[in-house]
Amino acid sequence: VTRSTAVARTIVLAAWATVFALLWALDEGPRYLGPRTQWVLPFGALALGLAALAHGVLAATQRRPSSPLTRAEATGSFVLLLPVAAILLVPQPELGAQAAAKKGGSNAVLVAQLPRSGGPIRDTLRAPFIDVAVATASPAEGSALGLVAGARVRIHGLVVHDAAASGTFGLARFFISCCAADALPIVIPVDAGAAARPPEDEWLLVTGTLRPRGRNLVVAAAALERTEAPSSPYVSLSDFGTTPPAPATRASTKPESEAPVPLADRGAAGFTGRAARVYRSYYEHCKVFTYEALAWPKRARDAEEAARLFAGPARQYQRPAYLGCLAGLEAGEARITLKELFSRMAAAGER
Amino acid sequence: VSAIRQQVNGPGRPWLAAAARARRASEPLLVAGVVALLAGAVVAGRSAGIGEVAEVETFVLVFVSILVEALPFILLGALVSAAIAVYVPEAFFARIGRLPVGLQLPGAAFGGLFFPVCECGSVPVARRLILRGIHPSAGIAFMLASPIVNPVVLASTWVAYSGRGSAAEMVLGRAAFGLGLAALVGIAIGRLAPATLLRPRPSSVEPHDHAGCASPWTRRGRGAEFVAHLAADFVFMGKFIVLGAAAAAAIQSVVPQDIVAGIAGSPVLAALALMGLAFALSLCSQADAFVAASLTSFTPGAQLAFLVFGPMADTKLVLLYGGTFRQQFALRLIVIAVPFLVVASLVFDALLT
Repeated sequence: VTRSTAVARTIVLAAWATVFALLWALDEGPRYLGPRTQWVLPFGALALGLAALAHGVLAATQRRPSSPLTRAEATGSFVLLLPVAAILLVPQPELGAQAAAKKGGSNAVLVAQLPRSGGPIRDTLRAPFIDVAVATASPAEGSALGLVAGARVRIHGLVVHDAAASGTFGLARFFISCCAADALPIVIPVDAGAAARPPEDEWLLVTGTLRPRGRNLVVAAAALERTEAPSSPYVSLSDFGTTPPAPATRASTKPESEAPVPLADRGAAGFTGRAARVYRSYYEHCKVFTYEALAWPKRARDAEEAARLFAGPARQYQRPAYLGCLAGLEAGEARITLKELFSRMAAAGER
Repeated sequence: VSAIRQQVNGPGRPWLAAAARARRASEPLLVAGVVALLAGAVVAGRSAGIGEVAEVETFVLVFVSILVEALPFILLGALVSAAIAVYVPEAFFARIGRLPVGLQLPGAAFGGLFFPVCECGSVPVARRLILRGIHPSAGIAFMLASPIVNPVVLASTWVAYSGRGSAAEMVLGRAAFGLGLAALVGIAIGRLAPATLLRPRPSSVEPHDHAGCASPWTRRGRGAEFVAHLAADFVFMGKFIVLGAAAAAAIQSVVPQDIVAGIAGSPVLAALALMGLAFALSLCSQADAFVAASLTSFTPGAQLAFLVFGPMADTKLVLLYGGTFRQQFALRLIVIAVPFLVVASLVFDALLT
């Protein structure tokens, strides 16, 4: 072991010890690991730290003259540093609608593999996410849990536009066993009625009623509430997806019949000129997409950023809007034909 | 080395000395350059908003989560194998060689329970065992079984599957099929005499030469040697798990779902595909369960084939076998293992449902 080799190995060990220590200290563990495997973070930080320290001391006190690294050794060290760069490049990755579409198989098959919380549920509004998912995919099992058609439920998840989902959109949580690599998407179909379909990857708290749809159940939404992503985004054997209580201001006083909160109703705030006209053409007539979706594949944080992205030259940003409009037409929600829309768009572009 | 260096640096050859100095000086520069390059790539990538692309997010999340899960186990394995390499005397193994073959074969297969060595460590150990008079069948059975039936590997398999309620089945299945296949191959190939089985000369691919473990720190005591072994093993095995995690992450984020689903849909094809993947990835058996568990589109049987085949045959092992045994050992092993594991994976899936 030459000194350079020893130094390279010390760097690798120290870099990984730092990664483990930082993930642990910043409480980033739940993003990557299941609840039963969180212990690897403190263990890794400690063991790798000790190894790095011992190796570093030996390398520093070595008296032999140094000679170049072998190519294999240098490659190995470099490869082991690549993931550290990846973490720095994407410090807070999330599993979203893209991962759900990629990983998802048949939702019924996935749900059949899930554990059940067991006993009958007294307060259906507090039924965990997994149980509601089981009830929607297999009503017979749902009734054993006490979740039958007509039961009021509240679920928290992220929006996916799953073509197979029988509702307006799907509300998804990922079930993880060991780490995020084995995450399985669980999707509950939500019927938002006449309300606009919210953009993908948005976290929503949905309050509604279980309604039959074909052989399955869907959640007929009475209220949609935008929220932040929860600190532990996954469901697992030890966390079935407890539902946070609805915010006090719009608590259970809300009557069942009240129309859902129109998520997309934010107008064309922030848009000017051509961007505003195009946006309005889609939004006013299709009522499906909001400015976040229009700015796809980037995600706009606010109206201003959306306007900046949307007004740019990249026409591909407008593709989701077109698809959304198509969906609106099929659902009978759009008040305009595609042909008419295109002619308006062309006119808007020329002006 | 220092004598040669003195010769080189001697009077009359100042340019050589300068070249040597330049080379020594350039190495830290190279390291700094590589680090700067990585840092530059990170800064450029972040300003370009690469982290906002959903595929990249999924890739990084899957990639990092497998590594965070697996690296502590790699370190644990390196710890044990370094301890065996440094502290267990070889005379210990010789004593086992005096037992009858009927006892040796199962004894050797189960021996892995008490010798948690990784697969690259078990090959030279088996060679040493056979040379010291242990029956070749027993030696081969030990070599193939110990990377599967050892406490660190079974523990990591348990952890990887514990969240899904199938941990016991996977651990038992892995141990049972691993032991069965190891014994089968041991009986089939080990009938050959040691002289026709092993390569005649001591091979250049020795225990941890590949990991650069021939330590000059020996004179500084066993503790120092232990730490050197540990770090060498960590870097050597770590790079394979990085590549394996990248492949698993790519399957989950970039490879079209139709292709994966098409292969995963056919049980025989799925088992064959995952064995091929295990061969190509060359994962360390202490961490491969985390990659296998992430391949959720495939049946548990196909994942089991991945977990049993990988520790017995992969790219790095074929190189090691080539340096240890006569030709065709690896080929014979694969010819026996592949059909066995295809059937085993079908049986396992049938038992689970």
